[in-house]
Amino acid sequence: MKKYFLIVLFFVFLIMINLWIAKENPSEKTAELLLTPLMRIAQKAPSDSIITGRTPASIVAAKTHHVPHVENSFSPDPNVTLDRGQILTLDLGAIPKNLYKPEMGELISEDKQYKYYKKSPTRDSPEGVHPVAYNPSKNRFRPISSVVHLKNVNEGQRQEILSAGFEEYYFDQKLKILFIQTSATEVLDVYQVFKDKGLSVHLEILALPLKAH
Amino acid sequence: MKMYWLPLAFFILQSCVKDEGQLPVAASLAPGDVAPTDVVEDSDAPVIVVGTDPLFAESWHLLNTGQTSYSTNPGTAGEDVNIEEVHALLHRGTGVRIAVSDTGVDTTHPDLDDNEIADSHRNYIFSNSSDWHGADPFPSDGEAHGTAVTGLIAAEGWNGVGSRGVAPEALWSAFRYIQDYSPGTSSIAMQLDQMEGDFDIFNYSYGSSECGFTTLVPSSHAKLLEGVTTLRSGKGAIYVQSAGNGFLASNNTILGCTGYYANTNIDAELTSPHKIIVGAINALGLKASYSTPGSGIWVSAPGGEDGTTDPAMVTTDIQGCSQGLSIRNFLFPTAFDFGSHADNLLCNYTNRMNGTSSAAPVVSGVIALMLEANSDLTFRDVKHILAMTADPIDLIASNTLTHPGGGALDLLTHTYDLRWTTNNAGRPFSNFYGFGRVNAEEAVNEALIYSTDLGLYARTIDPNSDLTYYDSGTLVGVTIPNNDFTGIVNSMTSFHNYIIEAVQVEFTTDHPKPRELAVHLISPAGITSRLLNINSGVDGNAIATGTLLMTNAFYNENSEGTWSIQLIDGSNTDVTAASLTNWKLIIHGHKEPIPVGSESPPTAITGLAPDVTPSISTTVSPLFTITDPANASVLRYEVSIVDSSNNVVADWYSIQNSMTFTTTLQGTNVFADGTYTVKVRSVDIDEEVSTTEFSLAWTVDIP
Repeated sequence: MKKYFLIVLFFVFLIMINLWIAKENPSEKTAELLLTPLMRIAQKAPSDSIITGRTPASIVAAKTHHVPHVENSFSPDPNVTLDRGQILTLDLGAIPKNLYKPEMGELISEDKQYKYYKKSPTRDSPEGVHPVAYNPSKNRFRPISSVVHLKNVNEGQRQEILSAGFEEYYFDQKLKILFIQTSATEVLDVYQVFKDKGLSVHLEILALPLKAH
Repeated sequence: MKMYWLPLAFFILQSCVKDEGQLPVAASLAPGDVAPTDVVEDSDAPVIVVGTDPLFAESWHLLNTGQTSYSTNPGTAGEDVNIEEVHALLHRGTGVRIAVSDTGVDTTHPDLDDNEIADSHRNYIFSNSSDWHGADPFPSDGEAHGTAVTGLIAAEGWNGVGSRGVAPEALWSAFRYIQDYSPGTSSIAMQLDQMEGDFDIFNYSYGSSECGFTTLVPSSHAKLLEGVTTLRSGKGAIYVQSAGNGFLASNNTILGCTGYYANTNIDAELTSPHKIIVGAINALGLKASYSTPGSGIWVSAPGGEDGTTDPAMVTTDIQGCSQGLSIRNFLFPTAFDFGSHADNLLCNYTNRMNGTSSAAPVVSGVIALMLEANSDLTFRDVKHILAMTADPIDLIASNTLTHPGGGALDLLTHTYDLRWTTNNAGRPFSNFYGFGRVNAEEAVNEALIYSTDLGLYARTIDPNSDLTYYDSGTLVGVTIPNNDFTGIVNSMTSFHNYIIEAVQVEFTTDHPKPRELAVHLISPAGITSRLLNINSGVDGNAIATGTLLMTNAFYNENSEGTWSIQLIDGSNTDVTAASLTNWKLIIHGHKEPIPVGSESPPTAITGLAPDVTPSISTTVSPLFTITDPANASVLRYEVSIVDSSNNVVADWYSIQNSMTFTTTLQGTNVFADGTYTVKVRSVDIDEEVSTTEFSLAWTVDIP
């Protein structure tokens, strides 16, 4: 009887230790964090949510791992203006993490979904490699969406653009914003085409996933 | 030796909780319940009373009796949203349409399915936007959040099963929206789409996952303005969003964000006056331990704590014991998990939903009750009623919270939060609670008799250029001293006399670590609102460039007069001086209604002399001299310029009350040769506009 009591006591003690660890170090990925990510568990687990969708669910926070002196590792494109001082890089590519191979080029940074690497000038980029935006204030990279925005587009202009062969991704009739679907390899060219036509065209830096509160 | 007994005590405690949770279901009949219509008893099954909601008794947010809600500790009786009389009077949100933009919803849930708006759902998982609408929003295993949120709003009432929503007869639609984005898609297009549609209320229990200031998406703010002015046949949809769960009571790290005490103003999506931002309260009637504070919060509502030690929220879960919230915490189960509790044998409910994610749907539900009571309410009416009827809570600790930063960010004598402040219009406001905890009964009663005319919405933004009239320009030498309680103050004068509904500030600093900064805004009446706290969680390297902040603290004050921004640097370790380099002020509000018969607009201007000075070869900077004998009564002048084809070049651009002005018209300062008509009108302190516009033909000849 005493033996059974001690065994039970041992397992309960393990649970208490886990509780204590979780409280002392919320950033540590304990099993509890893995299993209760959707809501804020006060003082025990971070509120990072399971954000699911096209990619498998993951509880890993969207934390970027930086390589030191990253500012000197790429060239900015001075001809393209992105939102709030962000920079379009000329020689970096973004690719889903599982598709990256070291021979593609030097790894510069990575986040939850993507690896950012310096493209080799002697190799063609494989399909699906997206242009990369750099945020100097946060020292962070994000992929450029292959959907470009055209602002102040009326219905006539919309039809004209679509009849020219461009593919509509979405149209917000009230705000008069036309979203054009391109591809990873064409997006900068399409951007330039519309810019040359004098349209208000914008590249979209892909947002970090939203977090359930 | 004592330590060895702790685990045993924990074990016993857990067992006790389980026993306590096994209440007879029939005991859940509460005020507002209709009489049971049938009782089904089975020796192997719990008692089911058809006509009531078995889990109502543990729903402390609806009726707080001091119950534990299947956790260890009880709440405090009375600390709820005061709803039982509203339900009893049959205000239940009937027919009000609510879009729940979240992780998707278990559409077959027996406590939700009767309130579903069939074929209205959306699923943004599809890469082709034409597939979004009408798609099945059923969540995957890890996406129980949306089902829980929906249950808090609109779980069916008095149906003999489970829980009860705040608006148990409101209709819901599920948008499966929270997800990872692929670079082949547009997160902005999805964002705009889920703000649109035939809905009265949009519930957003989500937020940014970034540590630092997020990048403002102008089209998102434009879409909100469009939504609150055109949807619901022009009365405006109501957008409700959770404040966030970032607050920590001690210096710590969460989600990789160091020293994350959090603030709503870090997330640009929470800086729009066209949303209702909701903070969370626990069952003791205090700010929930995690609830992100900020001047952007409008009201607060129950959100609960962890559900194990202290009550969380009892609500719907994805059905079954193999998925959903009720199975997600193996190491620290609550008495309600795993289908081991008689009240939750099928795992269709959870008692561990919490967060401001839970507080927002409670407010959405209350708004549904208000809209059912009075469908003529506009978006601004709803906000106004919520503010006027909310209960200020936690008053005892007023103004006593000291700064929790510690170390280099522990500015002596600097209080971390101002707590409750009563503004010059007599409105109490708190960065923890907004105007207080939502009060369903008071809000619905006010909705029923509502007659306030808020007048036309106005803001100090040039309609032509979308730029604010109040811009400090580039500031030089406005240095922020380190570790200094006073910091720096910079001022500008508003020549608009609106009744304030919200105020936004856009600021830029070269400070390398804005998380060390507190940002205050001081109104003409001398009231201070804390827009950012020291150690607010902004990433160490994230600079503030045109960062937008919002405050509701000045609600109903007058906007005319001197506004000041104050920046305090809480660090004693910086070696480089930093400066405020620019700030802008945007005032949202309306004009004070002038009683019929007492209008006295200023007299018309009698003279206007243009002195047009070309600046560069393609632009001119207009310089006018105004002759206005009644200038003393004028608050400001407004200018409109049209070309010879009557195209508007500047649409009532606002200028200060100077007899002469030289400001280049923002956004429209490139003129071609030709003849223009310039009109000037004057506006007085009551925002009355001169009835006669002074017009002048003006010929431009660019060299």
